[in-house]
Amino acid sequence: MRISDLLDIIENQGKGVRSYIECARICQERINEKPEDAASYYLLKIAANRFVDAYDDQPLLSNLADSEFLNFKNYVDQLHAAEQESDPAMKLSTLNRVAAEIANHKLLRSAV
Amino acid sequence: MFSNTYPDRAVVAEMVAKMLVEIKAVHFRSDKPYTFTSGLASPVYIDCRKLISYPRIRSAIMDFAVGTIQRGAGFEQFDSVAGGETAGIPFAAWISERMGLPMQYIRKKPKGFGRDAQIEGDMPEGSRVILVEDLTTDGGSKIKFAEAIRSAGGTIDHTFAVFYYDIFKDAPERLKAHGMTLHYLATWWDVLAVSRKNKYFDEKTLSDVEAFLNAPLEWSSRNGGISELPQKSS
Repeated sequence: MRISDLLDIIENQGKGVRSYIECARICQERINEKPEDAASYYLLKIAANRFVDAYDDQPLLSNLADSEFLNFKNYVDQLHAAEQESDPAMKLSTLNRVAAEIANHKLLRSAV
Repeated sequence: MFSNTYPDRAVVAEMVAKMLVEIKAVHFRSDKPYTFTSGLASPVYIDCRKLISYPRIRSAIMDFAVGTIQRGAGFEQFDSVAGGETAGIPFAAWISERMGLPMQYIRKKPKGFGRDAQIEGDMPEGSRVILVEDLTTDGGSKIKFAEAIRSAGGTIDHTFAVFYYDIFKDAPERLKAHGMTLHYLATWWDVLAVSRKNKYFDEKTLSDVEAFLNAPLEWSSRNGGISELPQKSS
């Protein structure tokens, strides 16, 4: 399984909370199975769990779900590129950049 | 303790539906649908948690709840009332008070450290528990909560929700297959009926809502959501 396959899981399950729960579960599996890429999967697990914490039991408008998905896709795309990167310094730089983006991302509450 | 009045089910359903509309817990919007936990796109959303802020309405609804549980399950069938995290907790508290029973609440997942508790409060081995939540869609969360109750040594044959979506026809059977009978006060069909009768929303909105209620997966698929439910809800 490639890191980008996580996007199919979320899209195929309608970008709802359960799809991110599944995504976080798979990330944990990959952390255990592929420790050399653990940092990438751990960052994505954090991002997925933040989505779950924010929108479980809360209204989520579909346009906001789309926007959050694009944001998550941006993390995945950057980390996918980092996986292919042979220069450790570049790889570390990408990990730090994505970590900062996840940490500073403001999740919005859907107006009902 | 509790009110010994048992209004007709249809009267309860209509009153609860009107109460939910009155406190603006009901939301219809087909232009920008909601994405449910399951990934279902929906033009309807209900926020039963708003009930906790309206003491006259919540008191009437809790009387209806106890009457519905006693009529559907019996008077001496339970040793405790358990609320599902988070929205089920206040309703479980009020119902347990009215029924004179102990209460627990159940976490969605164990804390993951310490005693790894998923059930908070004392629940003696063999306790006959009724699980309370604010609403039921496909029953997935209730099945998980019931597993936690059984793992902790309790028995659970009944579950109650203030509101039942009644859009997935197999939800009660699904709960039955997991050993639970579902009791509830009102459904989307009741909300639709009172909304139409009292002209709470325009007819175009209500027609679109009705189209969703009649074929939720088809409506969802047309509006960017899932087209089939997962075999096993998480």
